Amino acid sequence: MRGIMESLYEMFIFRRENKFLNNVDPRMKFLTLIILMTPIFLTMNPLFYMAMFLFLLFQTFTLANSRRIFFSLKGIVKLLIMFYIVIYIFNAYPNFLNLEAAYFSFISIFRFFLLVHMFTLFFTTTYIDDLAQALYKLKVPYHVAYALVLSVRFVPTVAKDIIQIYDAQRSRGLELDKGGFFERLRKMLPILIPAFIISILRVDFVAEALESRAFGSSPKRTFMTELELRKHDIVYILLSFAYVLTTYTLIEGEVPFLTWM
Amino acid sequence: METVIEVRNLSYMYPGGIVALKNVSLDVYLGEKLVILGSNGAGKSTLIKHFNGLLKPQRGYVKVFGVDTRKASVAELSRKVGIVFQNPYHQFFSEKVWDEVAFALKNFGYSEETIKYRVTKVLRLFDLYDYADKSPFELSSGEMRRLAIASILAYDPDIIVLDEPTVGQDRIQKEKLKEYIRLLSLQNKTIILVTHDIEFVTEGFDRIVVMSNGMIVGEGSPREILYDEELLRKANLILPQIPEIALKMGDSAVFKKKPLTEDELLSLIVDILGVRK
Repeated sequence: MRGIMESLYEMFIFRRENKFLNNVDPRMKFLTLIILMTPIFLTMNPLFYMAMFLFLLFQTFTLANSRRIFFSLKGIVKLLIMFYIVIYIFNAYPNFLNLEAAYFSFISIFRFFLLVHMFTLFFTTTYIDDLAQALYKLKVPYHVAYALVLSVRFVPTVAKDIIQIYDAQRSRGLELDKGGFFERLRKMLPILIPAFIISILRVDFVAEALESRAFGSSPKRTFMTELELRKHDIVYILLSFAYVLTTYTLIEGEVPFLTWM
Repeated sequence: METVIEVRNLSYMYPGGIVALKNVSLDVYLGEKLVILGSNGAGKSTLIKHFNGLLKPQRGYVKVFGVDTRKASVAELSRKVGIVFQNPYHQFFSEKVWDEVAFALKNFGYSEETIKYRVTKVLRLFDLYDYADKSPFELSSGEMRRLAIASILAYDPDIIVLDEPTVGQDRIQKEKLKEYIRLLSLQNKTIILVTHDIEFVTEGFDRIVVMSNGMIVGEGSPREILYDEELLRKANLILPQIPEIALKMGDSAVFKKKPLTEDELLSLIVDILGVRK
């Protein structure tokens, strides 16, 4: 559990690093994310998924901090294995030796993994306040953009809380890996209850802090640093678009985006 | 002196690449009151999480009563090393104060009779017995802090680690905490206090270890450490008020006596001025 929470923490935390993706305009990164995500929902072809995976791997190694991204994914893989088992059971029921179910479950998990990989690349390289500004500039009302950003902003905070709660309860003799299934579920209560209480209290603090700083008093707002589109931002989105277009067309035999119109 | 915790060449790096501990070596002795002092991010909390196996050494080793922490579970080590974490909200989940204290005892498999005896004893010691049926969340912050300590002391660990216990506490609460530490010390418990509150450690502790950037940069008696301005500056700390005033007096007697408390300073001033009541 600690490993999964540590991965979640890393996945949603931004650190200023001298990597290409950290310096790409968040609007372009957000649009690229949508471009990469959309075809994944339109096909279940493992070849196309593999092509996307290779593209994400390339980005991870050359444009971002690969160490952090792989650490984030490592914890999630453990979760995905659990999801796979659950999906397989549902798909295979009542015949539990079912190759077709195994294949379908694998593709579903592969799709989910690709999405997680994309979001990890996005969130580890995007300063969350820039994302709020990016959404605002894409004409999303600021209070809506800020609410979205706030929900992401608090993922690492909650993950950190859970790590600390987990440590505190284990220090008092709680052993999560002992006992049967229901016993283990019951043992989660000493972790979940403090996590909920802290989160609820925090909502109150955040609401008060926002109100006391006149949040939402004016629909218009300015930003300390303005986002600026540069050449490399355009190159990044165009190359990503070209890659998705080419691989999808070659593998699926139809041109994506155009044929859906 | 018997060593209860032995840390050798301990290094630890967090997954994000942040190096929290660099080649740390430390001995903690039976019955001593040790302070681990350092500013935020110095590596103090990471170090103490190795004492009951919450974190396992990536390099070097930690032995608790001779047992390598890599070879023992957290539950086994926690029976010897009780850690009271900084934020009580990170541990409270029971409906009643009583159940909160009994939680660890139940986990460690004590009998109902022992649980009843120990919970009663520890709640009385910490003036919380009258709140036994209340929710932990109805308590004041000082009471919550006491409850957090009580819930650890209930299972009677030999080593008690207090992580930043003075945060958000007023002076009266801090004095009470000092009194509890003194009481525990009388029972021959080993106390490890982790703090950046330099004023709190001027009195009642045997040894101070100073940490900075994941390393131990100084170690000695409170009188040595709290007068070492250069060392404290290196660790992003500033002199406590009494040593600061004493040093500003600039008298040679200051360096000889190194006063740490108000009474010691007053006595020094009286000596210097040659005034007697």
